[in-house]
Amino acid sequence: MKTNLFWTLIHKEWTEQLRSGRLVILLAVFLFFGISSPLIAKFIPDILQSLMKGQNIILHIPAATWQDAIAQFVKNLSQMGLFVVILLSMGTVAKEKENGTASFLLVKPVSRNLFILSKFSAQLLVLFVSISLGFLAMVFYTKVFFGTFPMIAFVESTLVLFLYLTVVQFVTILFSVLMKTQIVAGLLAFVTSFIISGVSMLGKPGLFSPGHLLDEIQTCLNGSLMDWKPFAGAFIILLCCVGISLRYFRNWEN
Amino acid sequence: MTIIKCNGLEKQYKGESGFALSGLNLSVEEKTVFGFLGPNGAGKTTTIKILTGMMRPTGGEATVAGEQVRLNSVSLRRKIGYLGQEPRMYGWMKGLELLVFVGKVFGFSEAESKKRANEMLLMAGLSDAANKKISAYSGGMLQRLGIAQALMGKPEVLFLDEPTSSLDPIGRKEVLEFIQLLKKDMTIFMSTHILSDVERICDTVAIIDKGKLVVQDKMLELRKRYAAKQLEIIFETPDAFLSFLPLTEGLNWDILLNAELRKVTIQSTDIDRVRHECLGLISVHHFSIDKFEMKDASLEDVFVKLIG
Repeated sequence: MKTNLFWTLIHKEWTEQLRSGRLVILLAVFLFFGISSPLIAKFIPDILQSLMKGQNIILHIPAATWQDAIAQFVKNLSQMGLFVVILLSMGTVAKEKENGTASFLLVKPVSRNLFILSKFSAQLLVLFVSISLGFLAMVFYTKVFFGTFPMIAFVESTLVLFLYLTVVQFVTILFSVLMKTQIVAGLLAFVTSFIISGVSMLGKPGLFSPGHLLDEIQTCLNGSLMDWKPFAGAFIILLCCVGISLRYFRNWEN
Repeated sequence: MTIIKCNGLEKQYKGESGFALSGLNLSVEEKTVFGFLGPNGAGKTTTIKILTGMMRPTGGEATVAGEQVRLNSVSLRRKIGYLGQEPRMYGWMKGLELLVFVGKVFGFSEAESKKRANEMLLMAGLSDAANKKISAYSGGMLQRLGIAQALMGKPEVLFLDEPTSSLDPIGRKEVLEFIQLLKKDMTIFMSTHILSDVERICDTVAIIDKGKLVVQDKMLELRKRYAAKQLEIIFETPDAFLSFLPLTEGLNWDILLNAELRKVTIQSTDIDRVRHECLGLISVHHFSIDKFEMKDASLEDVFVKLIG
């Protein structure tokens, strides 16, 4: 039976992520935040109360809820998770160009489109597995500390967070395709992520910024109707990243 | 039958005024070892990159194994194997694992890939290192693994860019012997500037300089055409050598190829006359010599004559 080339490339990417330790780092980071977020949400009020007791100050902090647990999870991953995603994705193509392995593969019957699509897909898969692990850990500890909670809202919030991090990841991969070195790709990805957040403050056009996805998570947790605009903006950016990467790489000379 | 054909290939790199290739014409016969020679910067690597579809020519056209050469041509790359100047492979993979991966890239099943990978490892003398990480391979082992991976897809043409330049003498010997084994099954296009390697294994030779073909011919024909027999004299002392040189100035010799300390190499279409004249001079002036030898011209002499 003939081998499916796309899956062969995905399998190679996955094995490389595993052996280089990048997958383990990402899983560890997401697992850490999955466990620590409900813990922090649960115990921060108690910790603050005990600290203030010695100073005769009485704080009235409302009791933590499951909403605080997921809000903490989203906050942690949209900040630290973003850095980790950029650091681990910036070499996706640039590193292969730098060390010559892109040429090694592209002189074989692998189309450039397939090469790029396999890169995006494998990275997306790695991110999905990592966020899923973090989600499962968060669900477990939220259940332990807060009892019942609406699972649908948790799933929806995590999917929106996943979309936000995917935008960051795809932007990083785009720069990895365009730039010669992974350091430059990473720096540009950081700058672009800040610009995307900054754009969200610009009146009407800013409503389309994926930066607003984080606000939509809160909307989702409140049970209100989410705005479609940041989702549209996110999908347009994702498509542009893949499209530009394919277009540029088609003409790249080894 | 011609398997590689280049017609007026041109390449100008972005931001550079000169041409790396300026109208290169080449023709390579099937199942031969083709030596592609030239000084550094002559355009050897550029030519190979164009012929393997890694680079787009600025002008001209080429065909390899019946396929039009184009950037990103998958059908072309099914028919070729390639090994670059420095083998760049996935260091985190093991030797066998890499070859199985390459087999799958060429569309073989898992079982077929494993079978062929083991055959290639055996042929490359790497069976014992099959499960060793590639990052731990020596230079010679890497080069042989590089050739083995280039052969995984059963190519019609194997492109080797300076396959021995980074190797020590033992590594070079191993790789050249390996290339010689392949000769009967495919066409090998090998670029190099190590002339002794070409003399040892190539059937046909092309010499390029400044992006243009200087000459292309069969090895023996090239020697016949461009380098007649030579006379080499080594004097016993530098004084004898220095006294001999001024005496040659009035004589009608074609080429004094080189004159290093104590050694003179002379080439002429009438080498017998030169030999007698030299013997006469040595005898009359009582020069003491260590060596007086007639020898066949080497490829190096051809190269020096055409490029130097």
